Amino acid sequence: MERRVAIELTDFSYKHPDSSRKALDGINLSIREGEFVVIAGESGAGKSTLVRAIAGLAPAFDGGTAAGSIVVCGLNTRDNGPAGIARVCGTVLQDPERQVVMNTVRAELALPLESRGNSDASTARGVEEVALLLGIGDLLDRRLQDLSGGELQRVSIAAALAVRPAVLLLDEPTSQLDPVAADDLAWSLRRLNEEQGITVVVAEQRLERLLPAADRVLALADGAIACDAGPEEFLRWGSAGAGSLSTPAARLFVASGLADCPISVKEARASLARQGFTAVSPEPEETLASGSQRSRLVGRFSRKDPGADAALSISGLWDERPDGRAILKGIDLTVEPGEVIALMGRNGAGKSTLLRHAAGLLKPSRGKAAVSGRVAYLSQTPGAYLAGERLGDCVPIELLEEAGLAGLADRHPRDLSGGEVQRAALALVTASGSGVEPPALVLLDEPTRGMDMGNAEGLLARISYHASQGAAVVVATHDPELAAAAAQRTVLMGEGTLLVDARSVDVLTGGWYFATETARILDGAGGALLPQQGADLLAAAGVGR
Amino acid sequence: MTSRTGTTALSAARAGVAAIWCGTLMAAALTIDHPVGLFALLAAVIWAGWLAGAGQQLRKASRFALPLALMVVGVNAIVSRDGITVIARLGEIPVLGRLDITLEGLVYGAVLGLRVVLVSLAAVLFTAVVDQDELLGLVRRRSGRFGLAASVAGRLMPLLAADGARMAEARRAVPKTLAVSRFDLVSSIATGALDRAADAAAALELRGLGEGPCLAPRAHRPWSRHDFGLLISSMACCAVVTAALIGGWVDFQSASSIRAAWGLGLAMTVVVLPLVLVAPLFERRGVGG
Repeated sequence: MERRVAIELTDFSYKHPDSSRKALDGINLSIREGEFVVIAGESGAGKSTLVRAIAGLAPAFDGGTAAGSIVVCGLNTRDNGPAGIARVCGTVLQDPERQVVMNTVRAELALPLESRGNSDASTARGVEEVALLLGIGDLLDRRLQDLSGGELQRVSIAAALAVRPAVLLLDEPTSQLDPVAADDLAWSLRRLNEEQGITVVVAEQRLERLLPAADRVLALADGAIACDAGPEEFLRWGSAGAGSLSTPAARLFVASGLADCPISVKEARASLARQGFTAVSPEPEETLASGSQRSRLVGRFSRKDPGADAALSISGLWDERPDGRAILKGIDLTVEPGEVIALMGRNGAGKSTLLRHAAGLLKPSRGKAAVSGRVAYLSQTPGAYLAGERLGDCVPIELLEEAGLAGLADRHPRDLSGGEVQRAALALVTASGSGVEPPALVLLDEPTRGMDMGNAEGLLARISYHASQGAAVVVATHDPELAAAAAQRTVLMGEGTLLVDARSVDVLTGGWYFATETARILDGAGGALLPQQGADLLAAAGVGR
Repeated sequence: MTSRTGTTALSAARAGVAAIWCGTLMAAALTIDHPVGLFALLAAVIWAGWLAGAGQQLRKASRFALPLALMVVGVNAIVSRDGITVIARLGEIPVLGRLDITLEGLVYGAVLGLRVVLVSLAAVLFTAVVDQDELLGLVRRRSGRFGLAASVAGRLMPLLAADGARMAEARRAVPKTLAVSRFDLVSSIATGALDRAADAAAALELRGLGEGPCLAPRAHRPWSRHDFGLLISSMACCAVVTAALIGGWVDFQSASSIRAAWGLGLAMTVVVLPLVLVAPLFERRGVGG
């Protein structure tokens, strides 16, 4: 039986206010009921604009001009505002903090049900069910302002799902989630799609988690649809042309000269097994040492005090809050000049708090954090560093030139893309010269959040540059690929403690969640973390090329 | 605006009743002129805040309220033309003319300042312990559009506060010679308010709130002992204040000379008023804490 159309765009074009360029250009698209569609594309390709247009926000809320039509489950966005479209379509936007409206989680989930006239009993049931579905039952009576970014993201998704919409629209839903929560979310979306028949449309930078569930992938480029195909065909297209719209597994296979890019780790392993590759994974016990064990080893074999010349030396650091919660519990960490370390862990593990202590922005309850020189700290919200009406008022022109942003000096910071804001803010905090000493310690909190591969590579180059200048760099990230590419050492945090402090190759090859996709495909064999390393390993084993 | 799950009747009772209790407290502060009566109400607010676990919020608020109160005292002392007891002669000041500081002007300013502190702390207690979400729900049921506007306004405050905190932290992390001025920072937060208001309004639309008034049928919710306790406390407070005003027990005037009522009536009022207000907060059964 032919499925009905859930979303239909006919010759739809959209231009942002004060922009001469079309953000969406003549889009014709038909998404059927029950389809799982992933929208891919580089930063600025128009993914978020498309999501906002389907939700009825553009141009009704965002201004600008639109042509053509969008119909969602029979409702035209011209005749029905966002609230009207919300009757059939749940929407989750990029920044969860900007889309929660109540004070407690329970009230947030109840609001859409109440606003549709549900009875108290029906609302209570709806809240309970959606909380169970998203695994946030324990958050129901928490205040929204006390939740982490990842928790807020899950609450936003739950609020969008509470009214059991026919269509679920999500804009980069995993950008703030740790690998565990991101995997959980991907599975939840798959279950909603398969069991409840909900049409799911997700705009996302990181494709590897969602491709296995997707029926279709739409790749946008310059506001137009560049590819509309199944996941396998999309990967073939992405690998052949725009390499940045690909997955680590696909890049591994392409680098190895293997045909048929796999859409999942399972498929990649099966394919390699058919080629005769058998991985020999290292024993975790051989490679990993806990944080305290590492300190003891250093002390036993070295006469030098590990903290003597350190760029950052943290000892016995506790952060206890007035309500009794301990965010950090006796952290010991030393980072040498020129060293790059990655800080990983679940949402709420204490990574951001640790960085803020290292930056001297928080006062520890006990212990201390000592730094050998100036600290350059870039928080999760780089836009906060650009307080002004013009970019040129916030960042000196010579720094903008260094960052390749001089042409944007007259733009309002709000009108820049996420990658541009990030580059400008990083240039500002790491500035040196003219009486400003170069940073001895660079702290970056989730720097690749919502960033495409091109911008991520630029960031890697900046990290390498600062390390080569003798600065210690600490990067808090949920992105194992970034940790593998940038850091020699990876520190895994959990519940305010350091669980593991070891070489990145040891940490990122041995796990299920905190491991790169290449390492998971190859089962950690040969310590290969990145696609090219994996391809070299496969070539040595006689597979591919 | 924030809501807090506290451990007293104020958080356990229905939001409407808790709001009436806080409103009664503020109304009493605006009605009574006698400084001793106002101090009695101040004691009741602090006591209630301490019992409700909102002591930290009250302490924070007093850091802003006290300087504001001192400013009120100072301005009133300068601009007041009433009073016959001159305590300082400042001579001729351009525009303002001859300035004499009188005891009466100073005392009246002090009463106004005390009232400012009292109303500010009562408002902070209200936002700290009363469930704002339930209150907004009540408003939405009466008027969808007004409820929408109230929700946007309520959401805007924490968003702007969070923006301000992030920008201030970012300013500290930038080399001093490159940091924006405080004025630019405040100006940036203020100009960002429009964006934030649009964000909050868009979020409410996406939750379906722009679709007209919400007419969800409400299930009958039985009145709890805390609802009754706070309502009786509010009514008793009104009765005590009314009796004190009619009986002239809290009379106070400082227009030309200072005259204040002193006696058993005043003593009874300042003892009974805090007790009547705080009594329901000692009922701990069923508060969920």
